[in-house]
Amino acid sequence: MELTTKQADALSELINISYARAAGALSELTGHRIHLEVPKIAIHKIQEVPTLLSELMQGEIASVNQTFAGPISGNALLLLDEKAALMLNQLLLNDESLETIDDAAREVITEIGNILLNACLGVFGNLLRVPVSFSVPHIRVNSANEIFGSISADEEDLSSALMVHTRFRLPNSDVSGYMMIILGVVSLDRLLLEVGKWEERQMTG
Amino acid sequence: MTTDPTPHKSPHESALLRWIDEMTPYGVLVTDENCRIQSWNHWLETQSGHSEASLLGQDLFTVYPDLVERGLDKRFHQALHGEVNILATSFHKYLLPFPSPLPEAACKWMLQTARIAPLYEGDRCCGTVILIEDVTLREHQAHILRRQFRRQQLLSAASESLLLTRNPTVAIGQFLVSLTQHLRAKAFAIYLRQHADWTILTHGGTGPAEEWLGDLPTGFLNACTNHVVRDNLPVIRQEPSAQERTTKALAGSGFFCRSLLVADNFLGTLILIPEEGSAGFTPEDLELIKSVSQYIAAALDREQARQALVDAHQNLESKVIERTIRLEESVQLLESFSYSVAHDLRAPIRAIKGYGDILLEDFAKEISKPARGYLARIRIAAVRMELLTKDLLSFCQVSRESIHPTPVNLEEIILETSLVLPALQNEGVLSNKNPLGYVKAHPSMLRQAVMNFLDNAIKFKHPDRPLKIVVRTEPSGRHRTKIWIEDNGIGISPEYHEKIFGIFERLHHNEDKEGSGIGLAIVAKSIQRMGGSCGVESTLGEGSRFWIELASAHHPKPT
Repeated sequence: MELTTKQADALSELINISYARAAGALSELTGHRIHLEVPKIAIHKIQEVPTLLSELMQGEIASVNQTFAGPISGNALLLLDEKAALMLNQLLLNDESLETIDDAAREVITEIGNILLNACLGVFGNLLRVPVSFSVPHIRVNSANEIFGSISADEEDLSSALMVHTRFRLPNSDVSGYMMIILGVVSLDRLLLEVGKWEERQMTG
Repeated sequence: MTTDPTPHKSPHESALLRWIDEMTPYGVLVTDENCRIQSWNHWLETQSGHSEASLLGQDLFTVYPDLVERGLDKRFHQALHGEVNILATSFHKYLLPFPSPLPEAACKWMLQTARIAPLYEGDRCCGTVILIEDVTLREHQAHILRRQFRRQQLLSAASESLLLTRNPTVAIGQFLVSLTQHLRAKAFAIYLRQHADWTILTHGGTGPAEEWLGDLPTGFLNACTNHVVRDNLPVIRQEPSAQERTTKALAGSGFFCRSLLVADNFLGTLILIPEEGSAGFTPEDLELIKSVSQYIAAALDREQARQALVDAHQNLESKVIERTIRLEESVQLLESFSYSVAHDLRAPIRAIKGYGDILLEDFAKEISKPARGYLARIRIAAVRMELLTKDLLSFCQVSRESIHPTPVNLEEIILETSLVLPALQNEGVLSNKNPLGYVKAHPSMLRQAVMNFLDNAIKFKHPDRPLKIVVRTEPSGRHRTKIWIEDNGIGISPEYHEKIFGIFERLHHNEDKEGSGIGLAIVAKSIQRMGGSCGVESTLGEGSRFWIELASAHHPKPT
């Protein structure tokens, strides 16, 4: 299925709101002025995702994975390819000596992913008036195909992936990655329904 | 462990909780929804020095106020709203301030990664659980590895850039900036010896150090150098004297100096200044400085050798220029002299000839026959001398006259010359393979040259066959033309092919033929002055082929 323009716009707006919160937290954390941008949002069938990821990202991918449960449930992931993960580490820590993703670097990516995903899922919960509970985030660094081994679902078979192209904008450089929210049919319907309701509230409110 | 276990816990769950409390090598703590401590495990007791009993019910932020100072209380509140929070050591260093387990590590606090998660009772969040992991050793080892790796990088960068560079001073300066950063030093300088003169070759650093480093008092620099030479240690630490410290340049901490040596050639000293308050450089750092200084010395040595070569070369070149000028002056002097002599000889020779003629004509009756014979011989000799001086003058003239080659029509030249030499006017003697084209030449000199060759052809015709001369041209290289004057005369044997163009060279067996022997020398010189060359190909008995090579030209456009 495809998002309608209306749906895409509403989702973008929601994500921008959550990213604004996340960017604020990240800026405070690192002492750098960070902006988060959403150049593009799209929905894909879950089977398409491994191929899509291989096209979009080179080499191994660092993924921070958080499951969420409630009326809307699924997996939320932050995806950064190796190059982006290293660059983000270097930029935020002012340390150019980093060559590989070691334990300390993984922790950094996990915290960043944690802040980002918490912000998004929190916004969905608050604005959409849907209670959502979070799990502990886990980080893995592996290939596009292997990422799907780590995805699980509580109740339903996951069928769709909402891909959010995410750009970290720092004063002198950009780093790009993807936030991916994986949902089953029921959750997706519920999400889009709640998004529609939120949009109406915006219009009338 | 709280003394009030919840009623519906199974024995296994209780055992698990006890295990977590006693044996887990991480900090585990639980708070209620008001951030009051509910559980403080054994690990935390050991690290913090506080017993669980003393902390139960206390507000976490009162026990550890620096959590609030650092803004981390927000994370706890977020957890209470259901969010799991990760705190990476790279961002926060630690959650709770405990003394570092590694005294040699840079940071005096234990480095920690923490996780804060909400605790639920049914649907309600009733508190938080916090997990704290000690990552001090891990970070320390990673730091050591990174420094080792960086050292390797610097060494290979040094060997690559310093040993291959064409501009050692710049390359060394750039490299030392990286080295200084790695060593966390303040500044660097190289004190270099060049031809018994000592100067600061390059210097750099952070902040004000960079500026005053160029003004280090020479007394201090000399002391460093002397000690380095005398002690011959890998690196020596030089402390400025109390008096020297009063100068701005030396007010800071000690200096580390390392000699720059190639074989026995002492080139200078490398000076590094560590950050204020630092202990100096570690043994690994000193090893690195030692290796790097060897590369620097090699690069500087190469540069000095190269410069010496350039200087010698320039010296040589200026000597050559000087000598060439003197040589040219000599040649000009000689040519002037020859010209003057030839010129001045003409009058006396004319006198000898003239008076000889008068004697023979007017006093014939009064002179005896034998005397008349001698007089005739004197006259012949005088005629010869006249011819010789005339040719010598022509030769000198060719050198003196200014040449501006213009396009010359070869067919016209051949025609003009043939009109002057009667032997050529017979049928079938001279033929051109036309068109002959144009060349860049001095018209009268070219005419003279051509006439000379044609004259030779006539003089040395074969007795057994009629004279035939063919004139043709062919292209010769880029924009050049070769003119061939080919005869079927008696030919010239190969050993004379070059000699005939020399001054006063004559073929032995042709001494009876007229000529001073200078004709072809004049031709050769004049063609050379026109920017061309000439020569001959010949086989004895078969004829000769004289050639002239000149720049091609085109028919001049009508003005």
